[in-house]
Amino acid sequence: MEKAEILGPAGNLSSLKAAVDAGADVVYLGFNDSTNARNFEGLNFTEDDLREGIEYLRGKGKKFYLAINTFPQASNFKDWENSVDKAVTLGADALILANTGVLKYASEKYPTTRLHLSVQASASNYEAINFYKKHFNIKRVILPRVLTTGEIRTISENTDVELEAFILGGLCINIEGRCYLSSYVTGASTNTEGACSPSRFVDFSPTDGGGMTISLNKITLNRLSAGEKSPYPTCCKGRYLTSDGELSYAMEEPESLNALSLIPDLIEAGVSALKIEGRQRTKSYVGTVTGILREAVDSYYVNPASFAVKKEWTEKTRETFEGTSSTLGSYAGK
Amino acid sequence: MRDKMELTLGPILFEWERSEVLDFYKAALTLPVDTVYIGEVVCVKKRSLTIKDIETIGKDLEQAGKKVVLSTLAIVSNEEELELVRELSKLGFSIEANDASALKIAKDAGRTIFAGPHIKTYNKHDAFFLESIGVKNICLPVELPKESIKDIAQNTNLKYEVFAFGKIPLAFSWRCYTERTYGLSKSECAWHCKDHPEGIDLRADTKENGKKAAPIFTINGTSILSGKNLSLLEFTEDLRDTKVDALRISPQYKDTGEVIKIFRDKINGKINYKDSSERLQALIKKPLTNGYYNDKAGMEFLEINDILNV
Repeated sequence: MEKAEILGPAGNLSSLKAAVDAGADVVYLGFNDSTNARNFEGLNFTEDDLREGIEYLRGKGKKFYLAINTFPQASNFKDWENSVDKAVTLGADALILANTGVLKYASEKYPTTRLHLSVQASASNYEAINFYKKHFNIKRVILPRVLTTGEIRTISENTDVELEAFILGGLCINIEGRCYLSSYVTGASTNTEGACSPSRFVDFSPTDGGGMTISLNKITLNRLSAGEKSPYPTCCKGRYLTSDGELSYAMEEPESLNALSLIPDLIEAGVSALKIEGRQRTKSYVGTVTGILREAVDSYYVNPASFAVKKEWTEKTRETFEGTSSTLGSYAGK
Repeated sequence: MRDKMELTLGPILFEWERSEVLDFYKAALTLPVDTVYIGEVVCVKKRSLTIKDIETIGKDLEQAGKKVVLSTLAIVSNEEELELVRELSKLGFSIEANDASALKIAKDAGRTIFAGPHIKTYNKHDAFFLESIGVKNICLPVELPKESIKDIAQNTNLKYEVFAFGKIPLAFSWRCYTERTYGLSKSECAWHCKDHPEGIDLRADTKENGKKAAPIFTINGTSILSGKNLSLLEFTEDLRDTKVDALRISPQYKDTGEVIKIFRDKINGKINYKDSSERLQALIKKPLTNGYYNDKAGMEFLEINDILNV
């Protein structure tokens, strides 16, 4: 049985090395521009950085996938074509694409290059996945985080496209690619600019008593008391008042995905690649969680029936979660 | 000379009582709209209408001279949801696909295909692709600015529609946000959405001039809508020049018919932009948004005098 692939995120060279050293089979990354969905300041790869990274990972027999997974508009379609050309020239083992215009370009110009359908394409059922296969010959889909393991099994039974699923890290509560909360509040679109709630719109104001008010483009998203932690401020993780005056995390608690306990379910449902979210995170996060996932996946294959999550994995994972709790997201039920 | 701008009545995104939905479509028979979208975009668990009801309403609207299109789900994640798309595709009306699955299912069923606002048509290459698979009409994503709309519409030969009035559908989840306010999950659905025909307001924890803030978002079942209504009333001529063919009025619980009449009068040149905006403001009595069209944050409202030389 071929083992499920482990994908580590890298937003810079040191994270790439950390992922490789900790046992990732593949590092996924993007260029430092708006052609990828983690376009944050100071993050991602110039061509020179990437060349050095490629040399490092090739030396260890590892692969890299290039995410070119945002949506170009009128004036800048050429930039996405250039990114595709650059990725192919650099020898990417796969391109992760979302936009049909870009998929068409890549599939026609580079018919032998392996194309993966980005989570940003929102393909959450086998009819949609097979549609993308028919038109763009995709080999793999990254599944939106809206599915149960049972639903993933149904998809797997009805397509021969490989399935990749998120297992650890930050969690979008709304289906990826169809969420405009960031652009509604800031004008910065996750789909077109590649960044949800960019830091230029975020304000952290200390309050009396050691707390903090967090706002996004002048909209208050949260008021933290002294010592209270919160993840990076996005609209979905804000506290809001409902009509009855109650203040709550109306969309999502500050929580991160930890589906290590579902490794058997996911693999047995047909998932062949497990992905760690967090190209914007530090090398220490990347190294830690990649190492945990490596150990967990290897232990599954030693004896699938007796797989158990080690307490140590849970504790170490929680430490990386920026004070948030862990959740199974939609995997265990809606 | 191009035809006059069309008006369409979008699918009802909220859940209303069955009698209210039936009355709403009865009223639509005589409203000055060219196309009516029925169907279901938000949630497979809604119960006001059966497939049979949708067929009957569709036929009545066709009898009254309207074009009828059935909208489909924005998230399709299981067999039950695929089945709803298949059932709607069997009825014989045109289909508005909001997911790639519906593009395929509607084509296999031989239907005329519309690409809905949740199909991500961001550039003319997307439109070329959709045209190549037989799509006839595209409702563009809600966040597109004028320049992008223009580039797509002017470089392709499809018909284009934009979301022009109503709370903007901003996000869709596997989670039911409405049931969450009752401490329940989606699989424990107790049909609370019917108790919130306008959704549930979400406000930021702040005060504006001493008063509580205007709603920023609206919870509506598994979807999040904008807190304010979008209105592109002031831009009807501008949109026509941009080569947009139709404006979508998204049904709200109150005053949808009146909103349509104001848009129709404006398009027909019976009232100017100033009088029409005053009529709309008097009706809605709440702040509006037009930020997306003007390449700003979606929640913003720009005065037309600041944008166009009128």
